[in-house]
Amino acid sequence: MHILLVEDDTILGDGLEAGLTMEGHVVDWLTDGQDARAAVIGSDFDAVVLDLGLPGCDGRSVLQHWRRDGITTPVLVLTAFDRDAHCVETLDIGADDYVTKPIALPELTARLRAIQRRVVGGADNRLQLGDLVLDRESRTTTLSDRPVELSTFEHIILEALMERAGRPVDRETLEVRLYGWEDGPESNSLEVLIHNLRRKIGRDRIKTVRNLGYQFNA
Amino acid sequence: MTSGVSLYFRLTGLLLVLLAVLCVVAYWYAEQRSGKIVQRDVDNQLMSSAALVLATSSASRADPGAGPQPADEVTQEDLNRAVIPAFEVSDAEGTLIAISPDFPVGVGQTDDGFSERDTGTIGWRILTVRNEALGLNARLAVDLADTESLASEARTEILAPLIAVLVLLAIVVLAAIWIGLRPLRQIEAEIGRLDPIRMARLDLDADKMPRELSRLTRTLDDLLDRLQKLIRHQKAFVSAAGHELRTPLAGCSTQLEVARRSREPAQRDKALEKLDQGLSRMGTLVEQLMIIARSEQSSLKDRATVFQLGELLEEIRDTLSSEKHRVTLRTDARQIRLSGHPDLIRSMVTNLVRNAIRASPPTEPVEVSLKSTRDGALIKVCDRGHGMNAEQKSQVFDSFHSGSGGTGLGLTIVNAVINAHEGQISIRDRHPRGVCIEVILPTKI
Repeated sequence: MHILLVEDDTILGDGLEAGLTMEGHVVDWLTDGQDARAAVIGSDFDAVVLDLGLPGCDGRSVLQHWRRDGITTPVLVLTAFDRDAHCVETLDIGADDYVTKPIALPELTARLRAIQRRVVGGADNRLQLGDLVLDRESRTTTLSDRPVELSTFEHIILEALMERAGRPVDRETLEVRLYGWEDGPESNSLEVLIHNLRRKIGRDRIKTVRNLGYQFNA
Repeated sequence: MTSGVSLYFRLTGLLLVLLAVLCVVAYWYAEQRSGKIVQRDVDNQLMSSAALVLATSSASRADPGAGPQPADEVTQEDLNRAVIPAFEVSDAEGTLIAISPDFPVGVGQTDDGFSERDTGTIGWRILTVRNEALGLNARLAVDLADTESLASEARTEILAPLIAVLVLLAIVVLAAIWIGLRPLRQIEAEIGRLDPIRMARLDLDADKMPRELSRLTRTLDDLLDRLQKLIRHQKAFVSAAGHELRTPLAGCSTQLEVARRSREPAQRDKALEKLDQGLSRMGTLVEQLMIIARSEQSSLKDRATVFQLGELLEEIRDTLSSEKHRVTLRTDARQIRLSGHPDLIRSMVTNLVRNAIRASPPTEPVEVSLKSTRDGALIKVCDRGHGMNAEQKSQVFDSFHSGSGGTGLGLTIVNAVINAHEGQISIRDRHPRGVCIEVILPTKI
């Protein structure tokens, strides 16, 4: 998942960034509310982890701005306030989940997966198209019940394509998923990943759409 | 803890004891009175019966053939109606003229007037009358047991209404006590309804209470107000403390998780280093919270010490002044002595100076000054920063403002320490820019 993390505390922010990255997510970390407001527009985040007590612009007003601008990216609010203090209000202005600090990393990632499930519309953590099954939780893939060995990056690309099966996904979206906002290692590495995926799951499943990107054939 | 006897039962008990005493007194009085009255009544009856018997006997003696004849004054009807006690009539020589069948046998000689004789099983009261003019003697006797039963009848008649009135009175008084104690029961019920977490005034109108209880109600309301304030303050403190500690705690636990899972030594070392930083920040926070908690203890005044404020400010200046940020101290009253807690005052001034250093550009020194004024010692901490807007100023006085962006618990400490020393804080704008924070601490020792 490509996650936007908005947290002003450097130690917690650093820990969450490292932890979520280890879980196979791509994390972009901001510490200022104003920056966060602008960052989501035009980006392709799968989820946002938002702190409420932010300098510059309070987390709740950031969320309000996003929702008013029609941004539907799922938002998990992570806060130091008491659970009963702002929970209802925050959920009502558009948060998808409300979690108080401290939170264990496995719980946070499970909650992010749950949010993702709701967005994609799946009943569990698995994406299934025909005989190809991708499990987000265990990060494993099976083809006709036989395991397929995928690298982390290959898994990310396959997940992004399967989520939007039948529709083209542009290069930029895929690259951001891979590396966040930082530049990727090489510009042709996406082609290499697609090539490897095709080799492992079958050529016909991933179609190249000229000038647009790639599409998973359902 | 054993609970005392209920006020109602206590009053009722007192009342019942009082009633019992009254009953005993009434019984004793009725007994005395009824005995005397019955005695007098019986004696009167004996005397009038004697007159009747004598008159009748004299008449029958004058006309023995005609049988007993009523005297002039006494009609036959009277005689029939009258209940004549046992009697015996004899002439002057002692010859028996007439005797009623119930007159006791073996009473022997009796003196004139009343006397009492015992004939074995029955006690008698006997009246002996000697009438010289008629030449007749009469003796009349009544059974003492009859007298006694009469007396007891009289007693009952006197006591019955008295006891009835007393019982009625008792019921009325018990009801009055029950009604009179109603406000107390209301207060009790109201106190029972109190929620210890959300203390609120009693739902009673003190003005409508009896005077004694209205004072009690007001006193309770005052106490509840103070408790409410204290609880609110404690809650705010606990909530602020929790809020302040949650983020660094979350940071530490996340870094620990990263360090535990990381397979790369460089990443693990970095996470451990961050964890270390987080822990030391939490340590500082806990220390600050302890300062606040300590400065809010009511026993603080008892443990105050007297110290030189000027020396303390010099120490703070020496600690905080650096190449990058100079701190200057001007004092015209180095000898000012203050009664209080030097460690708390040190935390308070240190926080103010640190905030001023944060606000100031590096070239501008933070100016601290100490002056003696009428109200006490005046400590000024002035900076050349961007100044404060109205909102920021009001936050300085807000006891538990959760300062985002670095201030943390600093201002809370400042307020708590100043309150503990009964001091005052104010903010003045500086020309052309910056602010002066002025703290007045009373110096009365």
